[in-house]
Amino acid sequence: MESDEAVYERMCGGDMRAFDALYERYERPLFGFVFQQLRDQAAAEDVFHETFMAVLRQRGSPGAPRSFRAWVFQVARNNCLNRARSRKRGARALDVEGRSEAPPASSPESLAERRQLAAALEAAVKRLPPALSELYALRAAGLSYEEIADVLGVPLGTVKSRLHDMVARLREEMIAWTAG
Amino acid sequence: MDCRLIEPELVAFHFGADTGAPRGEIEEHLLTCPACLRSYLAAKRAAEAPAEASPSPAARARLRRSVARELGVADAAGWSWWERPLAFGMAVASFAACVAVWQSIAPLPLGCSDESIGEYVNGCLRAGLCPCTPGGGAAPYAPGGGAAPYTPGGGSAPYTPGGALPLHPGQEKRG
Repeated sequence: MESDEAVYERMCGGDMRAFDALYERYERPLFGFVFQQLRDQAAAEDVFHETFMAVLRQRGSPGAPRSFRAWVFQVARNNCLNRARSRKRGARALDVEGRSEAPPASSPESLAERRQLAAALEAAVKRLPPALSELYALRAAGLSYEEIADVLGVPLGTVKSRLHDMVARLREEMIAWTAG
Repeated sequence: MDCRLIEPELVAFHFGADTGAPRGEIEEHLLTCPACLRSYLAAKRAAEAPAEASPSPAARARLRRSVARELGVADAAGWSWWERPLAFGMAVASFAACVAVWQSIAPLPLGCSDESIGEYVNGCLRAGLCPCTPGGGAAPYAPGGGAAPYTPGGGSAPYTPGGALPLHPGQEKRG
């Protein structure tokens, strides 16, 4: 299969079919990552759009990324952070910071056992600190440890230790859920 | 291996992280225990759930337009070497079909002369058919209730090419 980098080059050359191919590849993982960060369909669509355009505008700029996927996720992450900052500023201006934006947790009681597990896991992920939640989303999007390190701009060892921390927290949550 | 020990390890197992139990033992247990396998698949689905979200078709179209504008290319999907002649052929066939339908409705030869139109009109009038009626002129034109050809001013002169235009009933003759 043609590499992401090669498809990107074709798209930069004006081939809209390459755009379609790249879109198909990144539609779900990248949008899933953005959506998990923002929890808002419209905002996620905006950030997804901005990310694609930013990546396109930076074509030909010096310092080519080591991995296209890591680069795209890095740009998406920065856009998410900017969006979160501006949202926080707007919230301060409106003095509505005290309101929680977290959606209500699903009720596992009414679901079958396997759905209960999925709901418990989802709830556990939501309780993770932002850094670990972000790590979870990147890993769930299919990025390798190396790519996550590129996206977050941290050493590979840090990614591994954070992942270990994340898994330990989730494990505790799941043990508590199993015991309950 | 106890099922209650497996469940908390499923997420770590999915992410390929270190698990509390050896991975081989977990794999073996999942193969022999349908309940834990279902739990694992549920955890896997939950972990991959964010990837199920996708942008709307409108968002995609908007992005495609923006990308095309940025690159300075046409937004429409490009046609390949075999699509172009196919599209051209379809267009020609559609045009030919339209012409054929038009001919069957109004069987006038294309590019006919004034004389032939006159003969055609008079033939229709003699047959008591109005050529102006869509669908071949099934409605008989009968001024005054008769089936005689249309004669301006009540005369019986047929339509003559190059002659004076027939007047409608009630229309005054100029000059």
